[in-house]
Amino acid sequence: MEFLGTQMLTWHDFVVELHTGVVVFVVLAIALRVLVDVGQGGKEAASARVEEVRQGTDFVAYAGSVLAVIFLIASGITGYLLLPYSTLVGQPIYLNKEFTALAALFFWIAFAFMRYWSGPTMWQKKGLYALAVFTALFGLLFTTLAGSIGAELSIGQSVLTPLYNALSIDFKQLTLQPIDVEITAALLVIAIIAVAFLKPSRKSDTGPG
Amino acid sequence: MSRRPGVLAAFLALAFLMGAFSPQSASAVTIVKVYQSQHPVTLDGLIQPGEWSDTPIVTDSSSGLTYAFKQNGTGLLFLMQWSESIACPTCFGGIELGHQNNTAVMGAPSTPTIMILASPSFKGSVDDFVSTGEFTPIPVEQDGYTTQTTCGLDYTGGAYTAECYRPFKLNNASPYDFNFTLGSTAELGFAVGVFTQPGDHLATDMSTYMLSITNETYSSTSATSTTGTGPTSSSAPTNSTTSTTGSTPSAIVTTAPTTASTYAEELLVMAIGFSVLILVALARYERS
Repeated sequence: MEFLGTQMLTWHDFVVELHTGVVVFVVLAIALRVLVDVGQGGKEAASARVEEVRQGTDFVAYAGSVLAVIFLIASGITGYLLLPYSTLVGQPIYLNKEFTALAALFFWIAFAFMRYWSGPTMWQKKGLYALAVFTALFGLLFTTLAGSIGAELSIGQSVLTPLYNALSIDFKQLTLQPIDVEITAALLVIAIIAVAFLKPSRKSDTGPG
Repeated sequence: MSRRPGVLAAFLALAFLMGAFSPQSASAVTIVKVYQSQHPVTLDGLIQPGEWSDTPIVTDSSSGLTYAFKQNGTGLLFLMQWSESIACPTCFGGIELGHQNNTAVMGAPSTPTIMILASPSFKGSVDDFVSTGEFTPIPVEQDGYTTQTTCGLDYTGGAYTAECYRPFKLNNASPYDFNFTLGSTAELGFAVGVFTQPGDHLATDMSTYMLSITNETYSSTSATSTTGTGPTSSSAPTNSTTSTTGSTPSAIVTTAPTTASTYAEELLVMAIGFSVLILVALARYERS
């Protein structure tokens, strides 16, 4: 299939590069933010330079996550058009690819939603701060796995292939089992209960900002 | 801030939309397991009693080709049988192997497939080809490589029977060929036709079957469904995938629909669960 005279595979490769690049910037911005805040030792008051860094990293993380969502959706559409649906849902490696890509899309949407809902004060509440960082890390993990499986599909290997070999992971054979769904559900229930009922200390309600 | 309810609704809708990834209704790929060989095979195109009793013998309804696969530790053994009313020098039957990144019916220039065709017209009754879709398949010899497959072909009782072997360890093979090991998978297709009528052959596409090489041993009780007939050297294969003959071990295999639905469930649980987690956290910190 072609679009504007260009093979769909080429379009897919193009938008995949875009979301991968954006995600790298987002994660670097979040890492810089965490480093700065840790360096400040939790103090709210900070120099003008530190405030600039905080505002800059917040903007990059927020805008970058929105762009990542847009490019991930474009990647999904172009990827979906590459193969017959029966193939996409019939072979483990394609199921793994779709699952990791959709999970990445979800976590970046979740990150952007959290930042939209809370505004810049998200970084001033330690609980939300931590949840946002975890959400971004999950987004990074699934984006990386999706890209890695894509590389295995297109060129037969990825930079993570040695790691997969060491861990005896083969995405052509590996499939999710019902027990995985049950474990995920159990872990999420525990996390929700912990967040809902464990009382954070007053000190932890506000953080650096 | 008036847009907040709308954004919240959109976010929750997303979590449920993840469930739209519901592939249960899709047709699944049929996995053709390559079992460990228990009995030796003489590559003469004549099925001797017991030679193929250690693996399922199945007929593909699209191509009309009856097939069986097994491995003996050093290579792939496979049986092909197809009906022809008369023996003809240009008749062929064969299999096609595609890599996982192949998206085309018969390979493409960027994702060539390997065709293994048995025919009386070939020296040694078999030749390996590289197929790139719309172009005429090219014998591997044309690019300086060697056919890896060895076959015995015979015409008896209105059917051609080919018994073939190709080693796992290839020698001067096309770069597009397959270095199979235990655990390897490949797209699999079947074709039956006549070379003089190139556009008039029967074949499957490359997304219907997947070859999976295992070290499992086959017993008739391990089959999950019966979908084929077991030809013998004195009977022609049928074109049906549903008829069975009483005592012949038949059929395959496992398919993947339950796996696909498991992925959908996992995605749904993760999206809804994590969304609830985020909303609970936001609610708590909004109050504080």
